[in-house]
Amino acid sequence: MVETIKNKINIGSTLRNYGVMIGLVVIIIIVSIVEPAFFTGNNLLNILRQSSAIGLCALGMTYVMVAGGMDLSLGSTVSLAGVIAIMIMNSIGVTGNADVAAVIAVIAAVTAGGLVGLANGVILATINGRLGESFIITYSMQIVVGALALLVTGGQFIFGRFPEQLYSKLGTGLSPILIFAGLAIVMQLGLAKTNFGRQTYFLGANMNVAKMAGIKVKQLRVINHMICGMCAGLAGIIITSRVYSASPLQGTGYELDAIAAVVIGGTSLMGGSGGIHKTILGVLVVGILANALNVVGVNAYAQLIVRGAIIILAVGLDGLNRGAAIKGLVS
Amino acid sequence: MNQQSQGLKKSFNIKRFIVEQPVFIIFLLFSIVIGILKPNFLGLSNVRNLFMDISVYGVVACTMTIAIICGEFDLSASSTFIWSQILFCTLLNRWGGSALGILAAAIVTLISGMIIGSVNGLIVTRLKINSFITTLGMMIIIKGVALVFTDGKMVSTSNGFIAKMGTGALLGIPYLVYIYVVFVAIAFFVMKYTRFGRNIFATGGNAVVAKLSGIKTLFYKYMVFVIIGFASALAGIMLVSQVRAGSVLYGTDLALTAVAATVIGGTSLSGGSGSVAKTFLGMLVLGILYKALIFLGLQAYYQTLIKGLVLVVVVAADAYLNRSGNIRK
Amino acid sequence: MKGITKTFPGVRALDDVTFSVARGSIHGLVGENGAGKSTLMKILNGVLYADTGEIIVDGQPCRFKDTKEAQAKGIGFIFQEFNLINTLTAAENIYLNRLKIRAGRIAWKQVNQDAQALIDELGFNFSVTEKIIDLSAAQKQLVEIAKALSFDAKLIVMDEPTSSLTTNEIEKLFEIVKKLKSEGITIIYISHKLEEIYSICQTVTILRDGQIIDTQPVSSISKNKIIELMVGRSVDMEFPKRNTVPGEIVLDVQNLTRRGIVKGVTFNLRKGEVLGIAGLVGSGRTELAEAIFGAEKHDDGIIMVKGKKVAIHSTYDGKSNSIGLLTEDRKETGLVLDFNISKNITITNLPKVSKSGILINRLEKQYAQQFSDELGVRTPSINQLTINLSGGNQQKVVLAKWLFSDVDILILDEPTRGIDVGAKYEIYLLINQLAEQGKSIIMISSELPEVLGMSDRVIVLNEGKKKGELSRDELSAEAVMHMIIRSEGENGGNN
Repeated sequence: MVETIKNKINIGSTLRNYGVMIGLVVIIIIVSIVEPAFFTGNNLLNILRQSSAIGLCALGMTYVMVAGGMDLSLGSTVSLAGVIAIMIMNSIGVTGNADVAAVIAVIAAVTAGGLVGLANGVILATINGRLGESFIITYSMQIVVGALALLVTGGQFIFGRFPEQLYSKLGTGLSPILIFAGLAIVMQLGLAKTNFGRQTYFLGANMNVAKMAGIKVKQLRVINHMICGMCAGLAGIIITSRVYSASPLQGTGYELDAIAAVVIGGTSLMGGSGGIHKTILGVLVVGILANALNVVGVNAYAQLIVRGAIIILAVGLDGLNRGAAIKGLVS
Repeated sequence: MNQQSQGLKKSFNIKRFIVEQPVFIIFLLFSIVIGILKPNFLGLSNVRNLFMDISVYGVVACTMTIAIICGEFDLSASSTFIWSQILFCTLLNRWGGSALGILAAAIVTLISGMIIGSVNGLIVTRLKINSFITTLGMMIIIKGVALVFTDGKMVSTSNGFIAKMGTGALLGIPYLVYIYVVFVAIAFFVMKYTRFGRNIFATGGNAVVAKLSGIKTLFYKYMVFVIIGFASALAGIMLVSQVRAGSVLYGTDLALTAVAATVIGGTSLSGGSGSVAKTFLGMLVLGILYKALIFLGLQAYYQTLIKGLVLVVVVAADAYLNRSGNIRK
Repeated sequence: MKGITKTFPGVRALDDVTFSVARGSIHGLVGENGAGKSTLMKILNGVLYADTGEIIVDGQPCRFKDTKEAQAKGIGFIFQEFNLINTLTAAENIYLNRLKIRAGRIAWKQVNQDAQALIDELGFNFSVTEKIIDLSAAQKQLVEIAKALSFDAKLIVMDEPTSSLTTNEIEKLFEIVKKLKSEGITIIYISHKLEEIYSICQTVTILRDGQIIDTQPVSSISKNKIIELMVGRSVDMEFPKRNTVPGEIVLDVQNLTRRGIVKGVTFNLRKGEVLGIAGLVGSGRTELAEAIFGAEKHDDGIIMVKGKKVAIHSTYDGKSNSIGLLTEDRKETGLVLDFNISKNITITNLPKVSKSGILINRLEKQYAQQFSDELGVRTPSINQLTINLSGGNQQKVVLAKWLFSDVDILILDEPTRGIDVGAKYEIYLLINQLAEQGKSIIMISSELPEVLGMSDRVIVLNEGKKKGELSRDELSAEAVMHMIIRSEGENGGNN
């Protein structure tokens, strides 16, 4: 009896572990048949480039979700950071050294992201918020931060002046892919190989155990949210650099794609499991799917439907998996 | 003895109200201050407009309160609202020639709202997916459907009856306000005087104990989603009658405004307590605040900023007070 | 109840128990924690099923599938933890899901009147329109009783009904219980407090290790005899000896206070000493431990570690000041069950297995293996998830985790709860070993024999206050029980 249940779990978890891979391959095959242009080196590189911004967001989201939280303000943070970066480029880059300006812009954007994360983290740590409050608070912060981005720009689209310099190289060519890959490696190590990462897993798995083991739970929460915000800041830089302009609405919906990538990868909404390595796979799925839908000719509106359904499905699958695991434990 | 205890209860409640509803008090003071600074603010037409404004969102806020009392949450209300405007406009343009056609359009719209709610409810109760994720996903899906349906364009209607409905008034009070008030009154009755309503309270208060008492908690959780779907559709119809159009841009902030009104009114997000009547007050306060923001000539973005901050503050305060209250165990 | 046997994995909780109660009597049921009282009563209530045996009510054999069926047979229950919905009024809780409908609406007036009548009849006067959350523990108790009565209960089981009541409230409760009895209702009264058994029960049944030891009219059995029967064999149970002489004072707690929970507790702890804390559930033992470790803030008092006054505001502060706490609920606060042994051990002292913040896999495995071996955790590998371990082995992992943290002062809250006899003995040996290594240990336990057998010194807590201190020579179950009981009496006088 116990044996069969164990077997079931194993089949379930195998499916769960490799399901993403299998799904990915199936999507690639189908789309390649329908539209041969999909499986070309150029398009694949393009997919990676386009996925890198969402990828960066997903990296940050992974940290927050492993820690048992959620950050719905991420999309607005991307917008705000991008807007700030381009405005700095325009105000300094024109008169001064454009390369120095780029460095300042990057620092400012990442700092802005970090500050949003700080606000999220401090509020949630202070009220000792559970997942539900993480949702509502960060969702409200999305409105606040989004409004800030609109305020800073007056609601206008901002075009960057003097495009040909360092800043515009960050989001073009191979650099976004390298930035994402580099950060992914660092953050993978950070989560899997450091004291900080280990404590984060404990925090997400069971906040009480973490607290009772003498971990500075509140501080840890704040740091994780700050990292997430900084990742969003970087994503804002990549996006604005690519088109060398900024819109205060640019990041809208990024948080949803990021959640989708993280959950599809296999990091649970309940915290304490998963990791960056899984998220990378999830990012590829989301990126390839988005590209495939484009290539096949599904319009942007219909893609929304797919996005929403994917989030529910991914979480549902995770829940069913957990349910099976829990039933296994009881008997 | 009975009278004495009731007297005791009353004085106790007033004190308790002040202690428990600091947010409400603050906003009330705020609106009074604005009223004094800008006397026009309390002018008759302004008050009339205020009630018109809160009627549409108020209907949804009222049911959001019911969902929160039951321990659930619905972010997708915004999208259901949007979809309903579009559907209703489209149907009016097809069938709007006759009274029966208008009625049919309204009924179909309301049913579609309930179907959406029922999908939410089934996902939450059967698949056991967290209501935030479910309704977040549904919010995007429905919005996607609405966008595909309209190709992102606004749908307008010139139906005469519905225009009269939206702008007309009886005894100086707009029809829409009557709809709102009746809706709240019915909700109030259901929540207070029926087992259905009381079981929603019990489910949100402590689902385990409720279940032990033989209450079908999953059924009630399912039902609150259907109800909020219905209300979102009704709000959609009300908005169409007001602006004679439906668009994906109208009402994206509906769900959060509804949550804000609920919490400001004094219904805690922790479930099991609260009242739709309090949310009526919360909605009024929020309406005054939003009106005041416009009245003070604040730029639209500042208004959004403040709306967001209000929500952060009330939710954080609610959670903080609840947690620190719980420590005494 | 006849020949009831109930087995849990690894434990025979009830062994052929036959238990009968006469109608209209108040029947006391006593026994130590884990003696099987709650299990027996849960079977009566339909929460658990018996493996064998039957329940006979009024001459008819019955088998309860759930609480509702038990209710239908007139069996009402009042648990230690209330089964009430905090956010609703007392009246509504009494009639939950059975609210009277008249003319299409709930007749609140009627509901409140009926509920008020029930409460009034019990001789209390608070308004049933108050929400449960605003009621005192005693009032909640009343609501539970009223609820049982509203079901026409003929038999009411009360499980430690006075554990959260004040002396005055207890007296009132007793009056009600006696009144119920005079109305022909049968009461099964479970309590740790023998005073209470004597003041209201006619008969007392003593349960120990899942077996009925004796049933006697209270008038024909002395308090000491009951204690002896309750504690019974366990007193003679072999506790491993240790040869240590407590050294200098390492922890000095002065006037520690948590508002309403811990009231000015003062004590000290020496190097290599095992200090027992005895007291009933709810006496403030756990709350005291939490305050010392920093898990909850204290309002007043001084904590000195090794002669230096320290400020402890968080668990991190506690750990930094060489204090560790093994919590009473290892599944909720002790271990992350989804994580392996190795991770659970090293979490308290990650710097020891890392270099400049980066975990060194080899070090971690090595230390985890070493500590797991030292404590004799029986597992094929330290990569085993802790959820797969037995209770005893899980507890050893928690102990290993605190040893690994290098703290000198270890507070053990119920270290042997829910683990079998063999594993308990191993835990005792480990505690001795730790004391011999110079660690200082505070041991909190509901099992009195364990506290007596293991401690160099015992302090007795009751209602958040320290009631006395017993040195090794003075230690005996009777002495501790008498201290608790006496202080109960004193309390009544003082307040």
